[in-house]
Amino acid sequence: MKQFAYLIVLFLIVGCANSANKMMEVNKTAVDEIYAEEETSFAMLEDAYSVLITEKLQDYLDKRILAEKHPEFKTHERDTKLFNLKDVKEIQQIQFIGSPEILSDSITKITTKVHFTNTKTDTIVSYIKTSSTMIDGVKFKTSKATFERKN
Amino acid sequence: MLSEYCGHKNWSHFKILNSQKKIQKKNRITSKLIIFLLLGIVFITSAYFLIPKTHTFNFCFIDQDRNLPITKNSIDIIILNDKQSPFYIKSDSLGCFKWNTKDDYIHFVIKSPYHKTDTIFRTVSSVINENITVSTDDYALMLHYYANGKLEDWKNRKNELSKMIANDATIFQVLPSGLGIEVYSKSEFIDKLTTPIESLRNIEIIESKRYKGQIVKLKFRVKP
Repeated sequence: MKQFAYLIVLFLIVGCANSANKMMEVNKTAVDEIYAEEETSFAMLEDAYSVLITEKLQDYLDKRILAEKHPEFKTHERDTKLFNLKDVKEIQQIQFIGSPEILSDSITKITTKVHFTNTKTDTIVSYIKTSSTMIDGVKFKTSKATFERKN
Repeated sequence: MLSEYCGHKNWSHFKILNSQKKIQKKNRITSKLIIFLLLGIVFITSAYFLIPKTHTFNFCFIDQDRNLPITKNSIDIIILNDKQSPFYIKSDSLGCFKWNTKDDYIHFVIKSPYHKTDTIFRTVSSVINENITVSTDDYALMLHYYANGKLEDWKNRKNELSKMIANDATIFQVLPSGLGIEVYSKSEFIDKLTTPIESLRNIEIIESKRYKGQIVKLKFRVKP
């Protein structure tokens, strides 16, 4: 009977030890993911910048077109004019002019040539501002793209 | 005398022999009854399992945002049980529909102008009276408001979203690999959800958490 009791206690200890390991593994993965983001290669980061800048610039264009068509629907968007061109609706692709310039630990400047579907092009300066934030006890890298008209 | 006339020794001999015959007869009848009863049970049981039963599925569609039945616009339901010829029906005035089928499952697609299309598969073993939560197609709804100049409806939707989302909600977009996330304020996100542009069409909610009926955490991405 005693041996049986010892066996149960042993199983309980082993079982608890296993689940603790698993929990630690989950936490480790979450932390790894965050650090992995920081270790991303420069080429991958440039691709990510390209995707982000294209998405945000297209958002900007879509909002402007919408605001022109439906001025009664007002949003909190600031009325800034980024492009020198008129009649541009859709971005075909963007191209970086030179390498991204690191202005500080948190700001990267990218001069970007924007190609529109109607074959017109324009140049924009993009700033990627990075910082970090804690969500549910996990540290996340945050990025925000802002734009400036190239004079 | 009569018993002797029938070939028996005496009256008691006659009685014994005749009562045994009766018992034998009774036994035969009882055994026959048992056999018939058993055959009946076997027949009824096999009929129960072999004859296909009709199952009734009842579903009601609930708007995820409002937590109320969808009654304003009826939902188009395409029953796909018979793949050769899908059956088209609409939800009733209560936002529900009933379907009788001999199949032990139901497979259908729901479509609505301002709700996201969904495909549902349920078996008889699971609950056959169910409320199905349907999420709003914000892009389609906003496009409808903009195209038809429904400014009041648009403002109402903004207010509705404002009530749905907690003031201190954590809202963030998952950015392309290496860039982490982009944090949104409540008003920025409401603006995003009420502006019918391409990125709204491509929004995919990855995770949402509610507390006391309000959204407190929302994680989304914009599909490229």
